[in-house]
Formats: sequence, structure tokens, C-alpha cells
Amino acid sequence: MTITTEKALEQDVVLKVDDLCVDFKTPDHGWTRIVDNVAFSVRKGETLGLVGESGSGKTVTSLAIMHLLARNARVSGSVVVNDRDLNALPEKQLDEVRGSEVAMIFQEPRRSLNPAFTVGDQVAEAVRRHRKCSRKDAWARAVELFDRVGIPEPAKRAHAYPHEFSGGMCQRVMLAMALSCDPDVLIADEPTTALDVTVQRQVLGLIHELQLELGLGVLLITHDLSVVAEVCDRAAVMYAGRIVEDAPILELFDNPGHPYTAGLLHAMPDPVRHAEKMGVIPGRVPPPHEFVESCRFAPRCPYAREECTSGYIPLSTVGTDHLVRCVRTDEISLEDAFYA
Amino acid sequence: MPDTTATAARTDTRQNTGDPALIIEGLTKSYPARRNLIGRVTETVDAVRGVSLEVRRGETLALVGESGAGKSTVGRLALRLIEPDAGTIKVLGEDITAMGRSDLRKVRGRATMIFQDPFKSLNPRAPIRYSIAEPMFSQGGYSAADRDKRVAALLDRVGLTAHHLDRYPYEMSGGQLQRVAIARALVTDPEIVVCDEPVAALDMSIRSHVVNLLRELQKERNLAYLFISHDMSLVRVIADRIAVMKRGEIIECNDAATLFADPTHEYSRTLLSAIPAAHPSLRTFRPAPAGRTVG
Repeated sequence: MTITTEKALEQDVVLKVDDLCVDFKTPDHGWTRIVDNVAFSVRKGETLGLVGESGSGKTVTSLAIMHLLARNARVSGSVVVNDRDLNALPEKQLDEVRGSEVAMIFQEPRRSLNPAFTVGDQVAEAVRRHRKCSRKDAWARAVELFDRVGIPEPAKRAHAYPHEFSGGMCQRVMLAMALSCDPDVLIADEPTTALDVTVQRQVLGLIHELQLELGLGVLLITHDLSVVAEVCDRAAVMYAGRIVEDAPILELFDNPGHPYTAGLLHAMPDPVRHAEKMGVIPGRVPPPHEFVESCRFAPRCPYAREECTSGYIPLSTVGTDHLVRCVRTDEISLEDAFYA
Repeated sequence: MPDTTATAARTDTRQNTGDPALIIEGLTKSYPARRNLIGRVTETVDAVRGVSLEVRRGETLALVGESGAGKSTVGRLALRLIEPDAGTIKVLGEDITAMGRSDLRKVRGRATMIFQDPFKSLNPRAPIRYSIAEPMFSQGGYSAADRDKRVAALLDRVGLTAHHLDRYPYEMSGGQLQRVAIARALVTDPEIVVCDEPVAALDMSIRSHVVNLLRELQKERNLAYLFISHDMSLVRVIADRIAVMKRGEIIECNDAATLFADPTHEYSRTLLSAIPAAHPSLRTFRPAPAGRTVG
């Protein structure tokens, strides 16, 4: 890679997270590290999938980026959006960045909306929060956004309350709100998990369309590898608070380097391989106070050896643009370890 | 389609002897949607409209559809956990549509249910030991020694150990609790189990454990499953036959392989085409990735 292209790529980065650590103060175990040295970047127009099971720290990561964690959390590291480190900004300037440069949508859209106000009011409020304009202009902008996210009869539907909308429609409202101030980055935390497949498809399609049109960088947080397969350009797999693998999407699916990634892929229902039995990962995700310094997947890993538990394992590069946190990644083939 | 042979082979090896495990005919259930000033119902909504289906012994019939289609209502109606407005239900050859309470209780030993969320379906104030044994109390006819033996045997079979017996639900994970719910559902040796989204609330790595367990138990005990799910890619792997529901009606019912290869109804086609791809090269509305070219 030449220096000039490296620079060009650097310029495209809209969200860069480095050494992000989150500790929580818990009554039983004191300060506990939930997210450990997480680093990734999202480029303009790119969708990065952040994949993991519950307890892996993916949602905490997203909330830490947005500074939405409660007071019992301690965040360190850097979150750079358009050359500004959010972790170094005072709260007031942070408010300007949140919404206008980074926007977020959540899993259960109806719970994110205020049931007591019309959807139009809520989007108009978001517009006025960031822009000086009259109520009338804000409302007009809201209706325009509703039209953009595919809500039929936007002028009329803007007067509706969230309970009058289906889950898919509520997620469209959330998207309209997120887009109201032309953000550069959209963080979507399980945006389609609570939705039916047909609606999921529409919402994912819409996010993709908007991304093409506006050049959004999208951080898509999900537990569903098929959603990742469908929309992501690359994906980072999280396990027990750490990123264990980060690779372009085809590489991740065709040539997973970490046993955990392979295990997740084997656990996706497959009518041919799973005619009798599905692939399984033995054991369970450890609770945060049991997180160890060495490989956290080792107790569940069919390939674990002594060297896996002897010390910290850094992310290492395998192939082009592919990071893996496993000491044995070069010597193991991950074909059928998960069919016990 | 490569999966066709696999599913067909599975169906062929089953013996379908005797009465079907469950036959329901013309089942209808409506709920009041609006009442007038004096509380009279002025408008009703049909949750289930004239549903008929048959689950054979030892087979898995999957009931699929989107939320609100009436899948769970059918599952509950099948065991008369809610009362139908019209239609007949036959469980293991017996007509239970108008059956009295005590007879119905006996049937419920042989036809049981597993629910989606084990945190909600198990009594939070009862230890696991009691939750698993409870159906034997309500069925009667089991001695104390017999009960302990059966609980121990099933606990072991679902992959839990004796030290789980005195725990309470809050002390256990979702996957472990769903195993408890399975043990509880099987403790009276049923022949048909209605599984209402049994793995939807579980994490991916746990999900396949529970699916494998359900399939092994089906083989060992020749269980019939009415498997309610919205997850088409899972259903494709485990179902022998699939019934597609939309707005309270079954619009299509066919062998799993046939339905996936050649859905006849427009809605089935929409549902199938909405299943997200299993591999990025199969993605549809986005172009397949070429990978990020660096340098």
C-alpha cells in the first residue's frame, strides 16, 4: 500500500474507535471491565457489522460511543467522529455531535418513541434541536423525511401517535428522526430484531438505500449472522468484551480465522449440513467478573491448547485486512469441530 | 435444491401408525375488538378463522407466519388452553372439543406444551425440582419414589445435573431454563408437544443445542411436534411439513421440501424470499461484495 492511498482511505473514515474500554461498578464484584480495548473504524458509505451474543458487550460499545451510559460506567479510549474525539468533548458540544453527526436507532422502535406525542412532533423536535428554524419549517421537514423513509401519506400520518403505527413503521419514524440532521454515521442497534422477516427486509433495504444516497457510514449491531451476510461490507465479531475477529464480509464467511466465528457460522441453520443435527458451541458465555486475561473462548473451544490460556493474545493480521485474536489460527482448520 | 433429498429421506423413515396425534377442523376464535357504552361487543376480530390441520405421530409440523397471524392462538386452542368458538379438536384419537375438566386434565398429560420464554413459563418461586415434577402431581398416579426417579432421569437427559434441582429460575440461564421447560413437558410421557417458539428467546450458540435436544427426544420417544415459529431458516431444517398462516387462516400446507422448492401461494413466496441470505454471495437487494480493495 502506498502512502497516498493510505491517506485517502484515512480521509474516508467517519467513525474511528480506538482502545475503547468500559468498566462498570457492580455491587458484588467492584469495577468490572465489560468492553476491553475495542477498536474499529467505519468508512463513508460502508456498513460494519458488530456481531456477538448477549453478554458480548456489543450494545455497551454502541452506547459508549454515544456517551449514553449511566454514571456507574467508566469509559476510556477514543471515539473519533470527523476528526473530533467525542471522549474529550464537554457535554455541551457532545450534544451538537449527537444527532447531527452520529445518530442512533434501537431495537424496539416503539419503546424509543414517546407514546404521548405524535410522530411528527417528535421528528420536528429533533430537527429544531439542531437547527434554528420555525415550528412550521420543522414540521415540513418532518413530513419530507417521512416521505423519504417510505411512510405512505406522510402529511397525514405525521399526526398519528406511535401506537397507531406497526413496528416496521415505528422503525421508519426512528430512521426519519435519525436522518433529520444529515448525520455522517448511523449506529443501528439490532434495528430489525423485533420485526417480522418481510418487514426486516424492507427496513434493511431502506437503510441501504439511504446509505447509498447520503454516503452514511453504518455501524450495524446484531446477533444475526444472516443479517450481516445480507447487508454488511465487513464485520467485527465480539466475544466476552473483546473483538476476536475483524474481516471483509466474504473473507469472514469463507475463511473464518477464529474458532468462535466458525462456531457461529456452523450454528446457522443449514438444510444440508443440519439434516440430522445442528452445529453447536459447547458451554456458555462467561459473566464479566469471570473474564480472564488470556483467551476467553478457550474453555468452550475444541481447539484449545495450553498456549491459549497462558497469556494475553493480541489481534494479529492474517491475509489482507483480516484480524484474528487466536494463537492457533494458522494451524487449525475449522471445518467440523462443532458437530460433537 | 440440495436439501430436498435430506428432508424427503427423513419423512420416509417415520412410521405413521395409528391415529394422527392431533387433528383440528374448522377451528375459529374471535376476540372482542370494540364495545359500546353498555359494554356490548360491537365489533370482533377473528384471530383464527376455520383452521384445519393434522399432525401425524412422530412428525414435526411447523406453523409459520408473521406476528399476529394467529400461530400461537392455534397452538393454545389445540390443547384447549383457550376455548374455540367453533370447530373440533381431536388429540390422539379422542375428541376433546367438549370434554369435561377432569378428562381434559388426563389428555394434557399426553399432550403438552413448551413456551417461548422459560422465565415467564416457569414459576419463579418454585425450585426446579418442583417445576419439573408438577405435571405428575396434577396427573396423579405417581409415587414419590417414581416422581424422583423420573425427574432425575429427565434432568440428566436434557443435559442438567442434580445440583440444578434446588435452584430457582433466576439462578439459571435462558438455555438451561428452556431445558427445564422441556423436561417438564416430557415428564408425563406425552405423545404430542406443542412448541410455541421454543428457541426464539435464546442466543444463537444456545439455540442449536436446544434444537438438537428437541430432535433427539423426538426420535427417542416418537414425539409429534406442532412447532410454532417465525424463523423460516430454522423451520427449513427441522420440519417435515409446514403450514403457512396469514391473518388467521392457513393459506398453504405442504411437505417442507416441496414448500421451499415450489411455494404455490403468493404470500408463501414473499415470506420465503424475505429470509436473509446464509452467505454474503447469496445476498439479494445489495450487490455481492467484492471485498475492500486496499492499495
